[in-house]
Amino acid sequence: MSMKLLIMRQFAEVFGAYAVLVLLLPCLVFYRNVRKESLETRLMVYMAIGNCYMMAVVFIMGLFYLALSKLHIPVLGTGVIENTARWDVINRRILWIVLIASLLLTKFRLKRVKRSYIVQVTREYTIKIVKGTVGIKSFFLMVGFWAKKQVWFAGIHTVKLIRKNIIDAVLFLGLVFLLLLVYGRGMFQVYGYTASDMLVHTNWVNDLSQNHIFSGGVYPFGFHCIVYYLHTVFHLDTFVVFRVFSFVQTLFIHLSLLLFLKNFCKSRYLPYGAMALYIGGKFFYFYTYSRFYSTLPQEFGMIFILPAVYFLIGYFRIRKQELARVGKPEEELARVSSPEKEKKEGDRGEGKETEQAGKSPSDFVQKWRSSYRNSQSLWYMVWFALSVSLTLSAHFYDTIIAALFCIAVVVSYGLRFVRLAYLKRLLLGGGLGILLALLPMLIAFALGTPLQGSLAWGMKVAGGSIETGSTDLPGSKEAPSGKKKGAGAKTPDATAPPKTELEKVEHALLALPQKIGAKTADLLNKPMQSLTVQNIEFAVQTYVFPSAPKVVLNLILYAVPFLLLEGLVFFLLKKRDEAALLASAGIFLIFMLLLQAAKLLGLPPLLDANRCRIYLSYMLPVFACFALDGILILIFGRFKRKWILPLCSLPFVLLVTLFLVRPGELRETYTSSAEETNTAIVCLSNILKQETKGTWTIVSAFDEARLAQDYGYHYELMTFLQEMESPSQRKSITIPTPKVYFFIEKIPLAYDYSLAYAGAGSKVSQSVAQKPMPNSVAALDFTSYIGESRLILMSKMYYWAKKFSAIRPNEMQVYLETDEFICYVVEQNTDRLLDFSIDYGYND
Amino acid sequence: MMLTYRIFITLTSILLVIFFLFVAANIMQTVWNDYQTNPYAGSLVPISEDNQTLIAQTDSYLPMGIAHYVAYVGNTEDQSVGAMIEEWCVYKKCALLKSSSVSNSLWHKPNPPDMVLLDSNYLTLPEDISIIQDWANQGIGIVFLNLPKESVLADSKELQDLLGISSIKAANQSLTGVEIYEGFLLGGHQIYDSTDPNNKDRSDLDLNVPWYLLSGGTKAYMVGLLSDKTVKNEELPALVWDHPVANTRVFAVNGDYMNDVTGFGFLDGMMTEMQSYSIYPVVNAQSLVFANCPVLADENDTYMQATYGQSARTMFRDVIWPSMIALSQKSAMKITCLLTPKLDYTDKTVPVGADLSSYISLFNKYQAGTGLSGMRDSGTSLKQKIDQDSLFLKQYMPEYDYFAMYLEDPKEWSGVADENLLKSIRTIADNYSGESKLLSYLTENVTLQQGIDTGFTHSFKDDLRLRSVESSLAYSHILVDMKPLVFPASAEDRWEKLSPALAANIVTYWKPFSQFGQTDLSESDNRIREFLALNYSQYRNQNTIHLGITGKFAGEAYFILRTHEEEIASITGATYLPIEEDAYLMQATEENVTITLEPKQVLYYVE
Repeated sequence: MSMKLLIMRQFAEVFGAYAVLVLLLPCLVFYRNVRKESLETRLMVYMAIGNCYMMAVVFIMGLFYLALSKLHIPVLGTGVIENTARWDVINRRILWIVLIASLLLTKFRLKRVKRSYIVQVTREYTIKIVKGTVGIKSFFLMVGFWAKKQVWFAGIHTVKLIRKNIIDAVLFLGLVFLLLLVYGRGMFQVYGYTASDMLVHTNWVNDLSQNHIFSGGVYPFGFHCIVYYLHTVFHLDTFVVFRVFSFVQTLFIHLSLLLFLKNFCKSRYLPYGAMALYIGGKFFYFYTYSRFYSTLPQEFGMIFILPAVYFLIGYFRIRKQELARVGKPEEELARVSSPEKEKKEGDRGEGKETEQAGKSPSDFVQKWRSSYRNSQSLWYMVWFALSVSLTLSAHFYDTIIAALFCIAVVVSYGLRFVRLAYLKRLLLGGGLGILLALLPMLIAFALGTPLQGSLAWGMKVAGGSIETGSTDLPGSKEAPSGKKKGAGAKTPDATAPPKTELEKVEHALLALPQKIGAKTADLLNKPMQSLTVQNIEFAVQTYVFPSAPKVVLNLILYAVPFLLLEGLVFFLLKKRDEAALLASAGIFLIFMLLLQAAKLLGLPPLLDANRCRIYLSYMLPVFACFALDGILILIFGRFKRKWILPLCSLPFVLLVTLFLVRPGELRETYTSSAEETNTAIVCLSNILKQETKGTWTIVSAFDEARLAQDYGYHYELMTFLQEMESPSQRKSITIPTPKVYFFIEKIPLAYDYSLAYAGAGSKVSQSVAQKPMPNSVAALDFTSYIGESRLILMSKMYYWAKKFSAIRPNEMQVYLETDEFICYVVEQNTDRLLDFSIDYGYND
Repeated sequence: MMLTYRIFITLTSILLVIFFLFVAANIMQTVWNDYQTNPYAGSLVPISEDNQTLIAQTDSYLPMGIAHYVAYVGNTEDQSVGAMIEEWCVYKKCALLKSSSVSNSLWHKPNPPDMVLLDSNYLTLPEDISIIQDWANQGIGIVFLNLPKESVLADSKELQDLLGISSIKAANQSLTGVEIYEGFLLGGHQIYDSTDPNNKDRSDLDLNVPWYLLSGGTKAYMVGLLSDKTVKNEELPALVWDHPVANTRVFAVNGDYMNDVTGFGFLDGMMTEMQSYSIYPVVNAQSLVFANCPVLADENDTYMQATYGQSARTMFRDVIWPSMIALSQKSAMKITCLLTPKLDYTDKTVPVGADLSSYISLFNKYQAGTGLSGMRDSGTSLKQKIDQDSLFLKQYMPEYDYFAMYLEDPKEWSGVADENLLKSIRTIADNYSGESKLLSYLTENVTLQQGIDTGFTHSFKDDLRLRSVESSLAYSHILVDMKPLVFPASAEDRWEKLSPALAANIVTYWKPFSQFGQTDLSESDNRIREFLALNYSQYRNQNTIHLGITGKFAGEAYFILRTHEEEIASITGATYLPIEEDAYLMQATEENVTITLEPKQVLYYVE
C-alpha cells in the first residue's frame, strides 16, 4: 500500500472523527434550538459546543486521575505498554459511555421529554429484549431504520440547501480545493512532524494516555485534550493525529474566517474572493502561513477567535433588538419574558413574601431559566463565553488577539457597552469564559502541579525581556524549555532562589507592580518620534509582505482611515450596527499594526512579532471585505432589487481567480523542514502495522520515543553510543525485545537552523565519526541532536550499524534504505540477548 | 400388526445387508491380504556399496577442483571426535583435509577450506593463535570442537579474545541444567533441567564446566543453567557460542558434545549460522523397531505366569501387540517387528506355527515391517539358531523373504551371511555403540542402521543426540528390545512400567520431527542407500538457489534447507514441507532443483 494512500486514509479518519464531534453530533442535538440562526452561526455554535465538550470531558477525567494520584491511589503502572493499553480501553469505554449519555440526556432535556417517559421506554425495551420479544438484531435494525431516516432527511436537506445556494457551494468547493492545493499537499510531501514543538505536545498527549494530565506543568491543555479525545475515542494513533490534524485545523481555521465574513458581508460572494486571495496569494511572506503546516495549539486556537468576536457583535445587535422590543432594561425584560409567573404570583397576593423569595437561590435559578429560554442575546453571550474559553484553553496568544478585537468592538459599541443592560451579561460572559478555561489549570495548580516553563517564557516575551523574533523560523520556540528539558521539565529562573511553585507565583505577583512601574517609566522616557507610520510600514513589510509592491502596504495603511471614514458615513446614514462594525475593524487594524510594530515603536510587545504576523495576515481578509463591502453597500445597497448587491461582488471573485490562475501567481506548497525523514515515518508505519505491541524497540534520535510511546519501546541513540564509547568504561548493551530497529539518518536532518555549521546537509562520513562524542547534559536531551552533534552521532551510529551487520548478517538486516536514511532490524533471542556493545572502530 | 411375508422378507433383507456391510470389510481385508510374500520385495532399490559416493579424505593437499571441504586438526584415528568428523563429512558429501597440528595444515592458498575444525588437544599454544587468527582474517570459519583447559585459557589473553571471552568467572562451575536456544538444532527451544524431580533419572549430561563471560557481538546457542537465579541470562555459562572475527565466526564448544554423533547437528547448525542459508542432504527416515517381538513360544513360562498370569505368547498377542499398534497410530510411526521363533534354545518349548502366519498377516494388514532377530541365549551360536529357525520358518512361511535383521554384534554377520534363510537380508539393525558409523555398509549389499534410542528410556544425552541427528540427517531409529519382558534383567523390566515410558517418550520427544518420513526398516534401508549414493552441488544467485544432484539418483532424494528470515517463494524439481521456522524438508524429484527465496517480512507500506 502506498504511503500516500495511507495518509489519505488517515486524514479522512481524523477529519471525519473531528467533523462528527464538532459538527454532526452538536447538530443532531442542538439543531432544533438554533434552527432560527443562519447556517454560518449554527456552524460556529456547533464548533464551540463540540470542542468545549471534548475539552471538558477530558479535563474532568484527567483532573480526577490527578486527584487520585495525589491521594497515592495508582491509576496506571509505570509506563508499561500493557497497562497503558488497558487504561486506553477503560478510558475509551468511559468516553463513549459519557458521549452517548450526554447526547441522549441533552437531547431529551432540550426536547423536554419527561423523565418518566424515558424510564418507561427504556424499561419497555429492556423487558422486550430480555424476554426475547424483541431480539437484539431487531432492536438494532430499528435503530438502523431510524438512523437511515435521519440520514435521508439530512441528505435531502443538504441537497436542497446546495441547490438553493449553488454558486456558494461551487465557490466553497473552490476554496477547499485551493486549501488542498496549498496546504493539503504538504501532508504528502513531508510525512513527519514539521515543527519541533510537536514532539513536546505529543509527549503531553501520550502522558494523558497514561492518565497524567499537565505532565509538563500547568499549561493551556485544551488542544491536547482534543487530540487525546480523538486518539482514545476513535482509536487513532496520537502521532498520526498530530501528522494530519494540521490540515484539518487549517480547514477549520479558514472555515471560521469564511463563516465570520459571510455573516457580516452583504455582498454575498465577496468573502470567497478575499479568502482566495489570502489562501492563494503568493505575496504573503511564507512565515505568515508556514505554521499552518504543523499541528500546533496556537493555530488550533485560531479557529475560535472570530467566532468569539462574532458572538460578541451578535450579542450587541440582538440585545439592542431585545431591549428595543421591550423598551426596558434587562430586569424588566426578564419579567416580561415570564408574565404568567408574575401574574400567578400577583394573584396569590404573596406580595412581600415573593420579593423575599426572589432573593433565594432557587428563585434566582428559576428567573434565570425563564430569562435564558427567551433571550437570544443570552445564548450569544454563552457562545461568546465558550469561544473565549476555547481560545484561552488552546493558547494565550489567541486570547490576546480575540481580546483586542473584542476591545475594538466594545469601543465601537461604546455607548451600548456602558449601559448596565449590556454590561452585566457581557462581564458575566467574558468572566465565565476566562474562568472556564482557567479552572482546570487552577485546580491542577492547587493540587500541586507546577507551572509549565513556557508560561513564564510567554510572560517574559510579553514583558519584552526575551527577543524571539531573531530567526524567521517556522514553528520555532513554541516552548523552548519544554523542548530542551523534555517531558515534565520546567524552566528554572536563574535569578530566583529555589522555592516552591506557590512561593514563586507569590514572589512574581509581588514583583509585578514594580515591574509595571519600571516598564511604564521606560516607555514614557522613550522618544516619541519612534511612533511613526514609517516604522509600522517597515514592520508590516518586513514581517508580512517582504516582496509585495508598495501599493499593497499602502492599501493596508490606508485601510485604517478608510474603515473609520466608512464607519462615520454609515453612522451619519444612521446605520449604527454597520458603522460600529466598520469602526471596530478599523480600530482592530490599528491595534494589530501597533502590535506588529511594537518593538520598533518602543511599545511593550504583547506577543512575539513573528507570531503576530500570522494573525495580522489572517485578519486581512476581514479588513478587506469590510472595506469593500462598505463601498458596495454605499453604491448598490440602495437598490430595491436584493440580488444586485451580491451580483456586484461576483466580478471581484472572478478578478481574484483570474489573478491567481496566472502562471507564478499562485502560492506554492511550502516544503517545511521535517523533524523526521519520510523514510523514518514509512518504517514506523510499517512497524506499527506489522509488529505486536511491546515486542520491539527503536533505537533512534529522540523523536520516535514520543511517536510510538504506547506501542513499543525506545532506546536513546546518544545513550546507546555513550555506553560503548571507551573500552575501559564499555558496558554491555542489551535491549530486551525480540526485534530492535535502528533508525539512522545518512544525511542528518538540519534540526535547528540557528545552529548552522560548516558540514550542514552533508552525509555521514568516517572523518566525522572519528570526532569525539558531543557532550550531553542527560539522556533524552534535545540539544544532543542539533547542529554538528547530530552529524557526529549519526556518523558513529552508521558505522556501528555497518560493523554490526557485517559481523551478524543473519541477525541484523536492512529494513529499508534510501539515499538519506537507513533502517536496520535485528531479530534476537530474548532468552539470551545480543550484546550490541562492540568495537566498531570509531569508539573514542 | 400382523407380520406378513412381505414385511418379514424386507426386514430379513435389511438385516442381511447390514450384516454383510459389517463383515465384508474384514472378510475382504483377509481375503486380499497376501501376506505370504514380503510386500517390500518389489520396492528394493538396486543400490549397493559400489554406488556410494566416495568423499576425499586425506592428510595432505586435496586434489584441485574440490571447491568445498573442511579441514580438521586432530587425531582421526581416535573413536570420538576424529571419527565423528570423518563420518559427518561422509554424510555431508564434504571432502576432509586432516592434519595433526595447526602448523601442518596444508591447503592451496586460493582454495581454503570452508571451515577448520580444531581439537584443542592438538593445539600448540600460544604459537598457533596467530595462525588461527590469520585463517579467520581470510574468512575461514573456525570451530573449536572442545576448549583448552581453563588454566591455559586464563594464561592466553589472545586466545580469549579470539574466542570472544571477556573474563573467566569460575574455573569449574556446577550447572543445574542446559538450555538450547531455538534455531541452532531442529526441534526448537529445549531446557534440560536436572533439578526437576521428573527428570531425576534422565540427567546424564556433564554439568561441571568452566564459566566464561562473553564479550559484545558474540552469540550463544547453548548455555548452562545455574541454581542462582539472580544471574542475568546473558551471563549464564555459555556452552556453545560464536564470536565474529573479521568476516567470519569462531565457534567454541565448552564441553564434550562433539565426541559422538551428537556433534553432527552442532556442525550443521554452525554451518547454517555462518552462511545466509544452508542446504544439505538427509536420509528422511524414522523407524520404530521392536526387536525380539513377537514371541512365538511360551518361554520362561514360570516367570510369565507368576508375573502376568499368562504365557509369553498370550501376553504378546493380547497385551503387547495392541499396545504397539496403538502407539504406532498415536505417534504416526511405522513399526518393524524383528521376530524370533525362540529366545532360549535350551528350553523345550516349541514355537507355534499358527502364530507366525497370524502375526505376519497382521503385519501386512497394519503395514508393519517384518524381519528377524539374531538374539538367543548365551549357549547357542548364531548359526545354530539360524539353522533351527530356518526349519520352523520355512515350514510355516516358505515363500516369505526377510529383509532386515537385528544383531547384537554386527560382526557376527559374516558367519551367517551365506545361510539360505538370510540370503534376502539387506539391512542389519544394531544398538548404538558409538564405535561404528551410524549409517554404513556392513557388506557390499547389506547396510547397517544403528538405533539411536532404546525407547524405554530417554535421557538428556539421548535427547540431545536425537535432536542433533534429526537436525543433521532427518533420521532416527528407535530400537526397542522386547527380550527383557520375557527374560528380565531387573525388577523394572515389566510391561506395566515400560509401556507408559515407551509411549510417553515416543509421543513426546519425536513430536517436533513429525514432518520427517515414517518408515519401516526396509524403507529406511532404501533411503540410506540412496542417501549414501547421493552427491550434490549447489550455489546461490541472488534469491535463487540452484541445486544439482550429481551422484546416483534413484528418483527421490531429500534435503534440508535452512534460512535466516527467508522463506521459499517457489520451487521447481522438488516439493517441500516446512519443518519449523526457517527450516524446510525438500524432496527432490528431478536432478536439478531451483529454489527461489523471498524475505519473510515484506513492507506493507511503501513510499
